[in-house]
Amino acid sequence: MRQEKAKHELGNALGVVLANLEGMIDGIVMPTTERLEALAGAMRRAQALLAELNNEETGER
Amino acid sequence: MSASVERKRVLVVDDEPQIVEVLDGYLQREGLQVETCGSVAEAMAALARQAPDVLVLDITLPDGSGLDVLRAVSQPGNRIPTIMLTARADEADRVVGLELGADDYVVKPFSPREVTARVRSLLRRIGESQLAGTQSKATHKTRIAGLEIDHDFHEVRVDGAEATLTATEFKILALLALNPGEVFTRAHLLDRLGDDGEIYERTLDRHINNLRKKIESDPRNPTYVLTVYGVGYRMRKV
Repeated sequence: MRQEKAKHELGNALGVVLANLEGMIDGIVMPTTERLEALAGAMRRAQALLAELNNEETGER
Repeated sequence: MSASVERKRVLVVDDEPQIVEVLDGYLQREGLQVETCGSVAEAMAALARQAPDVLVLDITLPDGSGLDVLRAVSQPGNRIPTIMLTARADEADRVVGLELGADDYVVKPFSPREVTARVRSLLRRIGESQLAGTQSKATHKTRIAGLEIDHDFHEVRVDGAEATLTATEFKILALLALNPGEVFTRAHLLDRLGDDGEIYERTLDRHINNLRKKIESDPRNPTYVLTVYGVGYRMRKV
């Protein structure tokens, strides 16, 4: 269950990054420092979630 | 000029504000009127106020399931065309099935470009069936300064003189002229024009150049079909 939640959150974080990058490329949103910081934050969150998932996987073996 | 086209309304229900904001931007660029909300309760309230032309609906919402919203708008005689945002493909099979009657779905994490393309395509499908049903053919012309476009007869006049355009040139001009000032990226233009795969990105610029030769008095300094550097093209505002 916890794993499911982590996967879901990982998907959300990647979705935020993808949506915003596409939006910047297409001129929909501006690449402001604030927005780029938020995307970096989303990527850090994704990394942490991935690490969590990897840890749980090794723990189960 | 008056395109006399009523703006279509889209209601987006999703609880990830950082994504909704971008999607909102894309949909607005399509000329759509967009309302957004992030919960089942807000969605129900918004639907009770005014039914949108298209509903974009996330299944997983903080206060419940988007499926409850879908049930509410799937009643016979009260149906709203709906695109579901789903976490998994197998979930999608259920909602698009006859049971709940969504029209389309996009699996998350989704790309706003993709969702926008689906909304556009759904609106086109609805528009076609409405046109086939009720409207009689009315004379439909667009005028922008000295440029006059007759959409029914595919005729273009510049300061009264007829310009002979190819079918593709006409399609590009008509699309830009119906949305004056709105910027179309090359990809967007191709998407709108190239259903039959006849136009490619590198040939689009050539079509634009040819079009300018036919309608601009100085094709190097166009006054109608304008380049937006690094983005695409737009028609001058009136």
